[in-house]
Amino acid sequence: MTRRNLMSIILRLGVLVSCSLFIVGILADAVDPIAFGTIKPGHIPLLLQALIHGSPAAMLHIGILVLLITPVARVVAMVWTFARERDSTFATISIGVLLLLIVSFTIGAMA
Amino acid sequence: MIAHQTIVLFLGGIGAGVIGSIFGLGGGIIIVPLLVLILKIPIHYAVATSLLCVIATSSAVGSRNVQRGMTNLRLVSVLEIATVIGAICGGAIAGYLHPQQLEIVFAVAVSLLAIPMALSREVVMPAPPDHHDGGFVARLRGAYYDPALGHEVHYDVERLPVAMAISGVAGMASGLLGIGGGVIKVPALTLYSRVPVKAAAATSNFMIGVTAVASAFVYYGRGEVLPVVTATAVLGVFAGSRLGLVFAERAHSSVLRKVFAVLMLVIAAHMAWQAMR
Repeated sequence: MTRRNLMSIILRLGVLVSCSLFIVGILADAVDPIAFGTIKPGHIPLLLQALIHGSPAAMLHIGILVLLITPVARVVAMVWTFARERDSTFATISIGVLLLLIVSFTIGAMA
Repeated sequence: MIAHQTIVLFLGGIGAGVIGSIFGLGGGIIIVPLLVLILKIPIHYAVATSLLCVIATSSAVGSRNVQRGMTNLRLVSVLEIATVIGAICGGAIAGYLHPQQLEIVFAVAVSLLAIPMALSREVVMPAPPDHHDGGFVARLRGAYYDPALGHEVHYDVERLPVAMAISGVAGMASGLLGIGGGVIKVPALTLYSRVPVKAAAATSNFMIGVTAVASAFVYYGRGEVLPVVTATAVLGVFAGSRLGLVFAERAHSSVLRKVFAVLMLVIAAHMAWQAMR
């Protein structure tokens, strides 16, 4: 598998999963509107539990999280493929991008 | 959200997706005014929604461009360092600004961006590189197959520090305004770094997802992402970006750029009026 294919697959998968969750979540919300305030954003174990019970709010929140994780997963794939090509310079630069994204995630989690 | 708002948002998302994929942008420049001016959603929530739309456009269009070999991945990795630092700063600063201040920043930024958009010309493909040193910048050299020309195009990346500085500013604009920053990156890469416009658009498009995600995390953590609004807009943007890829191959980019510049000025004037009312 080339690095182009790997990154393309990750991006497509992220869009596909998040859009599927959005479609189902919106339709379920239209049938039975729900109160979104009951689920705290980013509380992943609670969201997964609610998802199992078919909560539209959980579907939309997890769809959003999948969309947020997609570009991060793409950067991880970029690090991996540069490393496989023994291109240490650009693998290191990509690790730098990943660390900066972790910084932004930490700031978001503390907000 | 009531039915007519859902329809307006979905159609707006389609419009943003079409424009985003044609110009190599994220479409945030359409989504934010739509949410603020028509749907009366506070700007912080509008920016958060827009950032998610930018990620959706980048992922949908990027998956296709990277497979076609249009994206310069080494250049992406270098510019992402600058743009993510800018985005984190922008996202952090935005929390301390009042909505009116943010709206005025948006209006001024969009007005300033409209000028290079209107004035930028069709780019002449640069001559093939005539030197083959093994330095860092030389390793950013890119190549892609251009079906319109019927041959492979090779290019060198010039003035890398300028491209990095502009990517940093674009990242900050992204964090503050919910745009992808492609509207700054594409002209910068084309005019200053001599990257052919097709490769610049594909490379910018690939980066804006990471740029947007850096500040989107900050907004998500603050609870400013509205699930139903975001999901509806993202679905519209996704549909629009697929549609836009079809238009992009046929449209005359010079005419589209001028039309888009006028649209940006109208949006900026409207946003400024809203902020000062």
